[in-house]
Amino acid sequence: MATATHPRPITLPSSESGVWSWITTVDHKRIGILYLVTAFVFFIAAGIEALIMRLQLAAPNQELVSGDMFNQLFTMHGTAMIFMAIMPLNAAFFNFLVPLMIGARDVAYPRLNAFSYWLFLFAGLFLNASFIGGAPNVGWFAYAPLTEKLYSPTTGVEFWILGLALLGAASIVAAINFIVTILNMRAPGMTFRRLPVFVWMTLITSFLIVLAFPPFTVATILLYFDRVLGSTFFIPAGEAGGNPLLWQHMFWFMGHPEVYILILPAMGAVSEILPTFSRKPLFGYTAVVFSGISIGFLGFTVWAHHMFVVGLGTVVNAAFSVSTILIAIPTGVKVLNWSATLFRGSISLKTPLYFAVGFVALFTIGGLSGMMHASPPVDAQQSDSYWIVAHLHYVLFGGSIMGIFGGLYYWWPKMTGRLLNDSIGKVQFWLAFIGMNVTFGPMHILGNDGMPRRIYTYSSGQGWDEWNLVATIGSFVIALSMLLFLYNVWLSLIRGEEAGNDPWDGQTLEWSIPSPPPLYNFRTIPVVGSNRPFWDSKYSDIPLAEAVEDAEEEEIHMPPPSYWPAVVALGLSLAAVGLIYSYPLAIVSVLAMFAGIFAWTKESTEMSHGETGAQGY
Amino acid sequence: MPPVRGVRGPIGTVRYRNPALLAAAVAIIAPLLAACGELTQSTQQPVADNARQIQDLFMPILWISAIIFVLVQGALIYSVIRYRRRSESDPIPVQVHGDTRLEALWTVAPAVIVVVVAVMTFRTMAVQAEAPPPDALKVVVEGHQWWWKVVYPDLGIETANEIYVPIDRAIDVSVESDDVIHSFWFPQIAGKIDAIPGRTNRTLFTVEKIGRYQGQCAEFCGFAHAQMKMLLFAVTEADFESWTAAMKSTPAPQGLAQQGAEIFNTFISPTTGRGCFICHTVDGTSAQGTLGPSLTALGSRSTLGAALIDNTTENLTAWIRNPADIKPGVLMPVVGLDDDQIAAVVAYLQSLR
Amino acid sequence: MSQTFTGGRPAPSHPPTSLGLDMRKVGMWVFLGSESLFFGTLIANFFVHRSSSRADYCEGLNQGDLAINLTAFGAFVLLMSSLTMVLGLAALRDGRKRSYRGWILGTAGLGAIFLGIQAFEFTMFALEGKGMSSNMFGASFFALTGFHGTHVLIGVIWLLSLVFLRVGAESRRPLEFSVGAGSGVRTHREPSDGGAGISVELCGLYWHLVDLVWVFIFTLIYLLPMENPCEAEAFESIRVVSSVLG
Repeated sequence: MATATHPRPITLPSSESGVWSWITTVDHKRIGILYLVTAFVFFIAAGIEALIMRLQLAAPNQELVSGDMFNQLFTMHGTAMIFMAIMPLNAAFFNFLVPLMIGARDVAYPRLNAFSYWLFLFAGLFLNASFIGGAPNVGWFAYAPLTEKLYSPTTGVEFWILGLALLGAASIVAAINFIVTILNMRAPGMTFRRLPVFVWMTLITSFLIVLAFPPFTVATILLYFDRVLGSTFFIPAGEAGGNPLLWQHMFWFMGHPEVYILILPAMGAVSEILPTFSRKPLFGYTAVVFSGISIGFLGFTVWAHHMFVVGLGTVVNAAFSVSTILIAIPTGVKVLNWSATLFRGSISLKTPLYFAVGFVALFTIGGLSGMMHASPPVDAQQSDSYWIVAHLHYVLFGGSIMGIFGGLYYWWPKMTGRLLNDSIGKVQFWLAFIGMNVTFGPMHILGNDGMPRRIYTYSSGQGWDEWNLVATIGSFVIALSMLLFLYNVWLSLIRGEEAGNDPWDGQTLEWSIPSPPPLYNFRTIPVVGSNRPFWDSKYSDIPLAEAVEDAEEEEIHMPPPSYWPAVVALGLSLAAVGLIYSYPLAIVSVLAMFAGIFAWTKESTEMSHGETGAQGY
Repeated sequence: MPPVRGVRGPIGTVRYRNPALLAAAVAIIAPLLAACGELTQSTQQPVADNARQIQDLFMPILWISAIIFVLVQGALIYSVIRYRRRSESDPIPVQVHGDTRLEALWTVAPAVIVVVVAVMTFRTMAVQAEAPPPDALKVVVEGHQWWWKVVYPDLGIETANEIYVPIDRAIDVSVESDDVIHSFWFPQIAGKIDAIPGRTNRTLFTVEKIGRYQGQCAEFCGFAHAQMKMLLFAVTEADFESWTAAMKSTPAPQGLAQQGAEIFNTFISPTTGRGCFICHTVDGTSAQGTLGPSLTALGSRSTLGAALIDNTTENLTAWIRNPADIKPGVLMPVVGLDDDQIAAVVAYLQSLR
Repeated sequence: MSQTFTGGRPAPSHPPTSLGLDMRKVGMWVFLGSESLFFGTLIANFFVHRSSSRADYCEGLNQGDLAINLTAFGAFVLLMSSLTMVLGLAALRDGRKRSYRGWILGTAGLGAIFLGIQAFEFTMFALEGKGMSSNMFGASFFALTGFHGTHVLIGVIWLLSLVFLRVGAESRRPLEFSVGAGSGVRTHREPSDGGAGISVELCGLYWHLVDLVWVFIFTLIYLLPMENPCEAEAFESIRVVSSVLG
């Protein structure tokens, strides 16, 4: 084993290199990078799906793709962007940063962490492989009874059900890991009131995942029973006694918290970036954290606002309308606190700041349009129209993706030891910013002009032609921005400027250690005395670690690599393939998975006999 | 693109764009000149009370949003420009951690806005929740993949995809579905309401202006969701009376049309095993199939294929020859009639008016 | 093969874990919270559907078919298994190894009896043609009790592996050790159970939740009366077994 105490530049934080070391890694930083790369590939794929859709809709009556292919494209675009791009991109940051920010040497369960990644990877490949035989074509919301065998006989829906069950399992496992890490592995002095906001948002997001996904998993399983075992859970009363609205309740009980699962991490990233580049503390730390918590709570009380037009009745609609509009309060508090953080700061106009400010600007638009369809009568016009497409993209592109890019530019030097080019970054920002406004801005107008969502073609002369063309042009500006980002990444990797430990004059713990950090992160576990420990160690007299006189040097034990997480994840994923194509394969895969689990537990026992710090799980 | 896909004729409403909408939409590109004058589905041009009430609620909320938008973006732009770091030697700013009074203020301010929006919303909801007046015209609309069945239960009329209503009279629509979930939406007339199998949803509106209005299914319902449209004709009471009368009389077919009627009512293609009457109903005849839309008085309808193409001889012929050629995914199969048979059936269907 | 680095320095004072709770126990609690929502949703699903009518409602499973005596016995067995689980853990903590093995095997055995009863019940229903597809009561019943049974099965496998595969059982790792990789702190103060207890305790937490869920399921499905349009017609075979038992 290498004992590199000083990291080499460029090379990633590791003791070994080579493919095998990546497959067996349990290092949270490497797993974070694996998440990042994998999720970005899925992000690009889902983006290409969007471009094809925009081309199809650029003009009326086009026949670039068939209606069925278009339906597959928007189903996969939505599913992939949510579950295979934004969520795992967020998980990449959680993985890489949470231990660094709380002063820990790894996450609570390093091998379980690896398992989450491999399961996510295999599930993503599994879902994308469905294009070969016909991808799911029922929308990412998969409303029953359209998803029942009678109306969707192809295996696409099975791919969707099983793929999401796998992705859900991967997310829950990862979320439990982060919850325990944050609750239990904070450095001395890192109290909850000193936790960086990004870590707070990770904690809230993880709780949302843990609580929101099980009901959804039940829904997918029941749908699977409907399709395979002939039950009729979602086939309506007249014929079978089931209830298609039950699907919607179960789906949106996950589906709405999911929005906050996607946006809260970006809010956390922005809450780190704005203070650093303003050289000020975050304005109203406590208010921002409590807003996040209340958004998390309220997120579970609003699901039926996705169902304002299904006829739940005036009273139910009014109640859900109130809970929905209430979310405007914590959201507003956050936006104003961010603005106040900038106010009277010393703002360094670097790329991460551009993206962070872009996030606040665009997310505000998404929030305002959201407030409009929180009103049930207004929603009766806007629901399922392009207005909603505009709204959700302002939240998820203008919000999540902008926040993620801000985070990428901000933490890239910590991950790789190299800076991304700032000038290219700014050009990329403006392309993304303008492109997204040109794409999604006109969709507000299209929605108000009565253009429904999820239509693969439309007739000319309804006033939709021009704005659709504009939107398509905008989408290619976004694509250009993404290409420029990839170029910037390539440039940084081959000859990026060396970042050093602290390129941005940072405030939190991760900037106190080398870039990229050594495998064990902290040689000395810091002792935290404020909620900006690194800043205060630079600018006030609060040191990061109390001097321990004559302390004996001790060995740092890091968990050993293991390939069992990948084996177990592969077994579980092949079981899903088996459920669709061959039951014997499913049985063999499940047995392989159990064998892997036992090997995993035995491995842990052996390790703990020695002097290692291997984690039990 | 097959030549049959003709665009329907203009109905002549002048387009009107709301300037505030443009402002909110931050589109940088100047509005292009729209080639207007065709059928619109704009929610901004309400012609019935229901859509107008929503529009009257939407506009103030939009203005509130516009003000918040300007304030927030203004604060951001001002801060970033005013407080940008001019050189690396700029002093470290005052380390303000927060301000309880300010934060209390901007917790209360959104709360006030929330209350205002909620109160306005509830007022509109209360108005729209009123029970239909006793003279309301009852219409049952049932969604099918991918067409609309339209029934006037009190008048004993069944038709498809084209709804006739009198103006200035409350229309009480019951929305149902036969298969998957659809959504009944005439943007100019009323907010959408989902058509859910096993449930009956209601919507109520009074059309105030004579005209032909277009609607469309708004809930994704499978392959041809994009081409599941419908029309609503708002006419005077007198015109509505004569329409109902016409719907109830089935003219006796003559000549070629009579041959067509025979084919329609009895012929089963030996190659495909299909025939018109198996799926379609024509009131007053022996054709009583229920899988497809009723073709009663088809000759008087203005469109075919769920308001997709104009009801012309050419289009009807092409439709019967191969419906999926015009509307991909359509559940109506190729029946397997030869050209002469098709011509006869077309003549028959066109005679139904 | 551990990865060891020299030159680490301890922080002056650091609790074993931030909350003072074992890492794996916190994780298990969070997982059980997640599981509760899983079962909560299945129970809600049962209530939505249990009296949904369809034409052949009475030909499918309905409440009258359920053999309450038999399943009450099953519920008793499962509750007792919670007790044996507790006794097993206590025995381990006291260092009574043989007694520990006995109690854990007993727990697994009781779980197996419960599974046997459920398998018998399911088989009877299946032989009568009352399955997933026959009506909504049956479908939601099988979904709920089936998933519970699966959890019991996993629990039994886990219990057996504790004893026979000695998963975690011979671990000498102190509780504090599990924070090692995170904090760099190792303490040599071993808790009295020598660290082995935690593996058993985790299994116990899971087992108790599964038992607790059954208390809810039994009450809500079997005991809570519902309007039943069909005649009660339990199968003769189940009746016989039930009358013998109680």
